[in-house]
Amino acid sequence: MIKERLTRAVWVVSLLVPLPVNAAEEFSFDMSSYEKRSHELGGYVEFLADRQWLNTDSGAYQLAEELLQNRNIINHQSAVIELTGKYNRENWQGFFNLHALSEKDSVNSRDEDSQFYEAVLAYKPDPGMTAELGKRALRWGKGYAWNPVGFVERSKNPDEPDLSREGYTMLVMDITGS
Amino acid sequence: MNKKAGQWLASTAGLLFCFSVMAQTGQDILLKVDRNLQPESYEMYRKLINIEPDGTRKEFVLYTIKKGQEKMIALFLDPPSEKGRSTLRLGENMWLYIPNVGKPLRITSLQSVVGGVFNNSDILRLDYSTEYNVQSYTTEKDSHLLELKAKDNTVAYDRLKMWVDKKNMVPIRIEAYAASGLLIKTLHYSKITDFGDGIVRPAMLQTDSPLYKNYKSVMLFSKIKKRNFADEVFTLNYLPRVESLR
Repeated sequence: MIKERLTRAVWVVSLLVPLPVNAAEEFSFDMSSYEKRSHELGGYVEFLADRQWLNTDSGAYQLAEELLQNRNIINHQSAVIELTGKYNRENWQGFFNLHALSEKDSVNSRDEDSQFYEAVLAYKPDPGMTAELGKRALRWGKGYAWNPVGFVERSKNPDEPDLSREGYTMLVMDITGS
Repeated sequence: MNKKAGQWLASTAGLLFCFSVMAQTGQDILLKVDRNLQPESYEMYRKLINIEPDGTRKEFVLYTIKKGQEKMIALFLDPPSEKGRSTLRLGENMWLYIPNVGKPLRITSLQSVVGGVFNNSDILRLDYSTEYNVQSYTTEKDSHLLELKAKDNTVAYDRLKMWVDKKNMVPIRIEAYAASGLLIKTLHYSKITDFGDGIVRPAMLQTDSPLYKNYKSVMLFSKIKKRNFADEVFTLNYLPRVESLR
């Protein structure tokens, strides 16, 4: 009887005592998800709705009063879709970044825009040579809102400097020899 | 007098010979360890897992290539927020390329591009014999113990104590010390695996550090293959295109 109770108590205690975190820690690495594919597709969709209450006594409001049509509240909605894709075939590679935006607020009418931020065809016959033709966004520098030597890139949105930006049409050749 | 001097010279020469034989043997073991861990030029895939004290995990997958004694690149494949980032090591110099920044940034060996206990020199590790000399060597029951000293002060750890498994001639435990004698971290190699083409080595590396109590980092190895690359690959200009080598 006592033995039975003792066994039951041990069982209860063993169930209550938490196991150490790494007691059965097992790590695995499944490579199948990382095999190189001939094509890749990615992107995101973003919906945003916001309301702004305006300070009608401020100087800035007085200056824009006519533009704001005497409103003291502005509602704004926007939707963004960004799609990226890549296709590889032997020495050739094509990639694109398609950006589509639709936004509307109480003051302005609907504004819609869609365009390729990037669309490039690249030829890479060997590691020492690459040729690219198309619309391409070059990046130069880690400045948060402004890059003093970013001569061939569009200005950043200071509110969201990480957003992708439209490129320029160009031909880029890179030849490295040793 | 001359006889005494001769005896002294002979004994000194004998002692020096013994030391040189011992150092040579230790250096041979280190060279063997390097070749068993990885070919001189190769490609491989790695998963890095950082585990925080509350159990939170952060995982990274890297495609890594190396050529010769001092050229190495690691490209991030996962998580998606890091995809396309790559790091280049040329000797003691390291750079990090971030697609949204464009221009490669200089980084140091003691920083970490992934956070956690592994630092950049662990992630972009060259052969041990490239960075260390064998100072002393002892044999234990199942292992050799090598005491290694950094060749110069640009190496991340000043001294290493390396226990080498006698059977497979690969490290099983490495303690890394600062010049002050402080233990910086301990590396544990495990899960000896046959990767093919004569490469039999540990598939898992775990590390912990008294400087990061209760933090742990794990590195899992996969698809280690001998492969030669052109020198042009190991340049700053090539970093945005490393993906095309896969």
